[in-house]
Amino acid sequence: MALEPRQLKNILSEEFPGRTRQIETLLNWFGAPKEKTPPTIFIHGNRALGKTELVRRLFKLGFTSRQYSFLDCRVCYSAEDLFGITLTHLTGQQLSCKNINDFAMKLQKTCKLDSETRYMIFDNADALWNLSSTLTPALLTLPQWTGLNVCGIFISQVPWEKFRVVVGISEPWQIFFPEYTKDIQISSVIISCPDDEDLCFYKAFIENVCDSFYENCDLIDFFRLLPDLFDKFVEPVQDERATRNDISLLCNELKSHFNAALDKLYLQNISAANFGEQLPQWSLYLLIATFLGSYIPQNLDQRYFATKACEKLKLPRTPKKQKLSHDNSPAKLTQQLKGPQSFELERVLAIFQSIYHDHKNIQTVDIHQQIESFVAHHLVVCTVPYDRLGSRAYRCNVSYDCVKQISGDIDFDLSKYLDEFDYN
Amino acid sequence: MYISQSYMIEITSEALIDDTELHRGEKSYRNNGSLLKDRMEVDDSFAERLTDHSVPDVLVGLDEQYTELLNYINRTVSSGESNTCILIGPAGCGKTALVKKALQGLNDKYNEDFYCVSLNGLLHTSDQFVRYQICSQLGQQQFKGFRSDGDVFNLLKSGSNNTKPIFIIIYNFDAFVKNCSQPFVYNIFNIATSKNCPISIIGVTRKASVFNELAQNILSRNSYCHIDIDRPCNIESFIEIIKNCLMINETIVDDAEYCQTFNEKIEELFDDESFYNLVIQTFNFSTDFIRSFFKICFDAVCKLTTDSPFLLPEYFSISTLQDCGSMDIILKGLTQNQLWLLLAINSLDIRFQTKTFNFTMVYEEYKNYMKSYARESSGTYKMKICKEHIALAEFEFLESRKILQCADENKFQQKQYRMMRSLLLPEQIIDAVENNEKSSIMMKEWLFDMTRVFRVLRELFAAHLRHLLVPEEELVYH
Repeated sequence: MALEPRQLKNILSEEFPGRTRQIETLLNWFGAPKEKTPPTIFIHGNRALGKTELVRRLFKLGFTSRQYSFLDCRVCYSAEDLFGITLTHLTGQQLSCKNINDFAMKLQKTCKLDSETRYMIFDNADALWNLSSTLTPALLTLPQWTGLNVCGIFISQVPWEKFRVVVGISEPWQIFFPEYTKDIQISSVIISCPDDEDLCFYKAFIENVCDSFYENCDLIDFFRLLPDLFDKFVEPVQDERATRNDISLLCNELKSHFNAALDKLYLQNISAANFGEQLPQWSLYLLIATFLGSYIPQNLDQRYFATKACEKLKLPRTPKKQKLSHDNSPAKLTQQLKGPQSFELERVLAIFQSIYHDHKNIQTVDIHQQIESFVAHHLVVCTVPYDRLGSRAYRCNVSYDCVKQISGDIDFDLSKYLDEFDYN
Repeated sequence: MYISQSYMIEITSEALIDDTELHRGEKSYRNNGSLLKDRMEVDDSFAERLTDHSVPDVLVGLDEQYTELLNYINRTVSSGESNTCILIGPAGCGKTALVKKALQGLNDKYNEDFYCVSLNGLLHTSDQFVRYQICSQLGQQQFKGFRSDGDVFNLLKSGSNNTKPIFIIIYNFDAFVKNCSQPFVYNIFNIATSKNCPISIIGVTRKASVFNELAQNILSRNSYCHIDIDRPCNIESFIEIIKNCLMINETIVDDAEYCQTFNEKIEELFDDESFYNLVIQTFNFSTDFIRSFFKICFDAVCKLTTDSPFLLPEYFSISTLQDCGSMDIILKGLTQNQLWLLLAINSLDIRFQTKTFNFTMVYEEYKNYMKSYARESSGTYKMKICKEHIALAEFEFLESRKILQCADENKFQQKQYRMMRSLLLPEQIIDAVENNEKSSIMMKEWLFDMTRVFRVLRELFAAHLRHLLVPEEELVYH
């Protein structure tokens, strides 16, 4: 059952520390159930500041189910879904709706039944731009246009000024969610305290960790890190090297784990697929050849891949190393920094023959097939449309780390070819 | 689609009756019956006025335009003349209100002896939608029969001097012209200039350059009538608008005494210095100042209770307007690593004259600077370079905030090589670093190095630019 505003305010203020002002403003704007609201509301703030959660809670407690629709625009990535789900939420029936025109008319039919304000909430509203260039302006203008008592609420991490790209877009009423202060962050993290843990001890831990992570990560990341860090924090106690009172000692011990924790946060350890076991050796050489073809400029081919006979004929001048100092002259970027370039099939065949000495046993047909299967697995990308059969061009799509691992497996000296690379 | 004014009024009056014992009243004393009901009605009608849901009774400073528009549409009804008329004006100047008001005036005179079709360029984005809307709003329920544009044109043309005139009102006219196909727009205009059927088109737009965008053959069908509307240009009319909006009369609250006191209090508001300053401040610094001030009023009206049923100056506060996020706030909240990346982007832009870059380049630039800095400070400085994968995460953060935009259409490019473009100006990056509390001395030193180079380059550019004509910029209202 829907709560009345004052009760709602008290509950929410307790659940969302530091957000009282935003809650008050929102409730003020919504007013009585049948009162007119601002036509559109835009809620902006960085990640993990409670925007979505607050709105979701507010509507769950304060409104009945048919009064609002809530959808995440990243999840509903087609316009049809978006309209359909919104209507389903508002009417309770399964309605399909193909376009905005249809949507406006169905909405009109729904809202005629009673005059209570209906709310359409769109989370991650910046994703709406991906659907069509007119959808966002249309949704924004919908309440004014239809004259219905409808309120559109848009939640986004992108500031409003980035939405203002179309002339005639109506300006919504805005609410901004500022960053939490450190105190509030600490107090909202403290609820993650395990049931069997002493709150004071846990608080000391949180305060210590917050200092280091306040800058680097938001609440969502922080919550993910906490359990592991806490395990590390109490490790000395469990090993009976310290007691629970030696907080400063525990803190010092914990510091060594910070970097590892941060690394873990961003680096999903997806190891390179172990091609080594699945592919014949020559295929691995072929993959390396595509990598070299993508990263080594064509004009250096002679230097790296030419046979001895050619080498004697003409030695290309080794290019100068790029200057690192920051002088005033505009410099040139090395090709490695620009990323993989596309290459023609003939070139990669030549490189392959140069690096793989047994190539005489392998038929060209097999090589072609192997490359096609690389393309199918996105290890190599075809950069020319398929209908142009004459000249196929490809680009390697495998990272340096992966190739390094492969070449290590088959004892291939990659560094010989990549001395231009500044990979340490 | 179009809801006539009378229908809207019906809805609201119903709402008022239903509302008597609901909701907000519960917050205060139930036994205080009559005043309680009054207050709610005040609240409801204010909410309607302040949120664009109703048309004001008086249009301040638009008398001339009102008479002009009314004349035009009057001629269509009285003498069967076809017209086209475009209303141009910035946001919040009263274009929509003017049209609604004029139609209301016409309605009083002729008692609905005409049809009205409302279209919106942002909603009706294809010929098909427009066709469908025209048919359904003209009461042709069997629109299944109207499969082609020709059918619709025939329907519109089928009128004669004796049939009811039709008004086609097109909001966001510029979007309508852009989204619908040119022949379709031409035909609609063509019909509106033909003699036998009285059809008038009223276009409403904010874009002052709309005439430049119309195709030549469409322009030739346009009678070139346009009404320019501007926001009130002096503070007096602005004050009048506010007063009109905040004052109440007996049609809203059935208590003459209360109304009078309420209105007196409103007059007193303007004598209050802080309130008057607020008005002036809004007038001078907001673009859409009427809507902005309405927003301030909305919060003030919400503070009305049965205990203090009058508006007081301290209810009004500017903080409501400032409560919005902007790029500046985001830039102020950036972390050190993000600032380093921005600096590297700026440095790339200056050194290589390239507007597009990928993560590898940016990271390389940053690393190189850190290394060279360490070299110059002869090893005493202990370096702390942000790790590559963390930097990549920060880079993606910048992309999610639309500070960077992807400029690479290649779908399967690895993310560190995806070409990006910065959506900030070099000056914005400089400001961001200078104004951020977290920026270190090292950052400022790099910035100093860069701006020196930047200045030299800019002088060179300026010399070059002096010879070029700067094209006239499109005039766009926001």
